[in-house]
Amino acid sequence: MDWKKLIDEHGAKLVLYARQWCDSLVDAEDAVQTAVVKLWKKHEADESLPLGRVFVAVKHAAIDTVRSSKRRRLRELKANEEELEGTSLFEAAEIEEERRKLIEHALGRLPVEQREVIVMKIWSEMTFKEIGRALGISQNTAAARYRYGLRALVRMLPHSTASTS
Amino acid sequence: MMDEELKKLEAELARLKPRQPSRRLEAGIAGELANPQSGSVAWWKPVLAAAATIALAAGAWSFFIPGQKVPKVAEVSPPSTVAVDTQNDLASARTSADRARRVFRPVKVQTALLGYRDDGIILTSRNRPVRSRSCQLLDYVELESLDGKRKIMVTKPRKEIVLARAHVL
Repeated sequence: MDWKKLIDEHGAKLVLYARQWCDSLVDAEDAVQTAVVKLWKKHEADESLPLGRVFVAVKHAAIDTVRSSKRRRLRELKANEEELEGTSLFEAAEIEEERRKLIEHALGRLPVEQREVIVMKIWSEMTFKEIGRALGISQNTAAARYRYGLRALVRMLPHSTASTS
Repeated sequence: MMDEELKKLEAELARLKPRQPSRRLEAGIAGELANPQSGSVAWWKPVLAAAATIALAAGAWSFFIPGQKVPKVAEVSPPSTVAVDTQNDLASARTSADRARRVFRPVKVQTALLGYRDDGIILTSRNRPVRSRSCQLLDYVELESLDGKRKIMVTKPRKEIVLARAHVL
């Protein structure tokens, strides 16, 4: 397992995924770090570790991070620093700043089961089969969560059609 | 109609690029892997421990056998963490090839923040309130021989206490 390659290629997606549970970027990066180190120790020689396994490890690490009261205390402190860096989930993109904020806010209001499927599908380009295998659900359930999530987003973002071209 | 809206939203979402992780993430992983905690026990650790025990026992045995000289062990000095490129050191290298092999220079330096703790507000000797934070850092220095054939990675953990002015009023 080449952890540098993993971080180069998928680091941004993994951090975004971790942020579905973690409030701050710092905590999300901590979760990714914990997961990658743990996986590397177990599967150092394994060149073909499925991406789904990495996502699952990140999810568990993110949940542990949030649960840990010690980290929660530190998070408040770190969050102050993070404010200086900005807390956006996404890079400045072609989409207008206001619109991006609306999308992030709407994503944050979705149930986490739907959010994680959307993140895995859209930004990690995983198939429903891969998502289902990683999350221990059927691919139909994964697809249903995805559709419900997108529909909810459409309802929360009434002008979504106007800003796309 | 709904499907069309979903497709447009999917396309819009796909145009957003997830934020790149900070350098801290890579440095943190490198730091943790360079300084593994005692959580998981690698298979070679018990083997190494057994080998060390046998070596120690053999050493002690040879020491107590009467009339037998204790074998001399060559002393190996740890690699220097500082580049050996001063004039004096260069003069000590006999040939240029020897120098290229023996003299190391730093090619990469990095510091990883492994963690930190807020120790709260404390009073200095001048009765000024300051916030104290203990940071655990790991310095890396990668040294390369002048001929580029040998590399040494030196890591050194250190603790740093950062004091910042505390605004209490």
